[in-house]
Amino acid sequence: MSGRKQRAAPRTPRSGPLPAETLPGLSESELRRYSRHLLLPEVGAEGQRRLKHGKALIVGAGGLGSPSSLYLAAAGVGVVGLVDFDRVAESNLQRQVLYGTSDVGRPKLEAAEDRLKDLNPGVRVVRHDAELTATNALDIVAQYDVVLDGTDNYPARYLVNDACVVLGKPDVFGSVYRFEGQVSVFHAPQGPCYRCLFPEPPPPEAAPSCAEAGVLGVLPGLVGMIQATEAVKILLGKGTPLVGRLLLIDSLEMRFKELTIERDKSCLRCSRRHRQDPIEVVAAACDPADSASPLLTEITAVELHRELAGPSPPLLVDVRDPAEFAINRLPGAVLIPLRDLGERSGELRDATSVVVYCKMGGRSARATRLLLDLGFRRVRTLRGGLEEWAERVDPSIPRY
Amino acid sequence: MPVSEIQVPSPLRAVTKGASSVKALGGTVGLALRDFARSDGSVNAFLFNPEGRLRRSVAVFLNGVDVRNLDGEETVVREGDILSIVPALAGG
Repeated sequence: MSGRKQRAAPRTPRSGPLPAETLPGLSESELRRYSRHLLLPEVGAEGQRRLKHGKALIVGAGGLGSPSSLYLAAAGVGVVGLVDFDRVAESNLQRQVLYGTSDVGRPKLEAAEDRLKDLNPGVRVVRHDAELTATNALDIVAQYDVVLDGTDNYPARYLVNDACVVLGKPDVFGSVYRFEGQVSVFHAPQGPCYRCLFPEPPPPEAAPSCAEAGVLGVLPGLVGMIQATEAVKILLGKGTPLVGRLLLIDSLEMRFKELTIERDKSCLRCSRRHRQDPIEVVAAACDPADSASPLLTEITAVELHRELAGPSPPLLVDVRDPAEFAINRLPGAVLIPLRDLGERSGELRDATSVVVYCKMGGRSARATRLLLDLGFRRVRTLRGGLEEWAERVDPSIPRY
Repeated sequence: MPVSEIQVPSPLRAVTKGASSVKALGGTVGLALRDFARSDGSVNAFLFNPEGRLRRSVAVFLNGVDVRNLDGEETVVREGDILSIVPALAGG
């Protein structure tokens, strides 16, 4: 997603819930299917009809979107919209329970629609086989009553938030990293928006990435199901949503913690002054000092391959964890995990030139910054990490 | 000088050898966080921008209250207070 500014016309928020008499009825088959809901006074026939009338959009059909879409479809939400443009990869299956082994290689939304229609043929699945952009976000979000943010990157999260604020829609937010999850419902102006909590995304070198750091497969299931619970409550108009509350989940310690989050009166998105501003894609924040620095230099995989074959090859430093190093590595590389680099940097003092690498380039950028701060000068980071190396130089190395 | 407890988010737990909380010295939020940041350069880069200000991608809560609604980094910390570091996570 680019950082270029794109404009789209703001829309008027939808009005409140429909009166019961205008809701669709339930067939005999639906009465049987949803009998456990109908027994709940908080749901009952009217609530089930509200769900049938409801339209939920799930942005990102991955780890979070898998459980949430399954449960929303099972619950009888009338329309489940999905935004994704990816294909099912083998490494998805550890957590993306919407897909099976036979789906590997298929477009995610094609496989998702098959699975959800099998689960509940009464649900209409709407496929938005595209990347969410500033150009299409308002048009897509406007078609739904509630939005579940299951994206995996910062620009998309800010875009979902901004579109929801402009349109007055609830943004059921969930995110995961390693063993930790965060859930909230951002619904301005009733409560804070995502930008009230995090006005800016982190710079790339401080941005945690699941693709590099891993995530416990069950965790997005847990978080995605909480998102689905909140969406169902919102469609029913029952209970107390997580508006103004941030739920933190530490699955390793199995601790749940709730923090109160407040609206930022000067928020650049949801404050009265900015609420209808055109939406735009945010780039990951860059520190001026970083962009101005001539020292933080990158090397491409092809360039590194050439230098390694030359007369004075650089010292290769792998800053990943030992478990990753055991899977694959560049020949001759020294393993110094990022967390140990400060203490062990002395081991690099004699090297005339150092190239730091990791899986995708995030950790090596942080490591390079650290080494530069420690006084090293001939340090470069391998752009795109081993993923790029596998793409451009050696496709035979194991990938994970 | 008061000792507070800092609750450490996952992205920084490699530095704390997996510990979910650490003790920190300091009479204000800023001082306590900097005491923690002294443990490793990567913590400092994660929490603070090059101008030394707390990053806007990280929220810090003192006993459950966002310090931006108190006195920010100047908020007074007392013995036994709990500081929660909550970074923006994007994984999905």
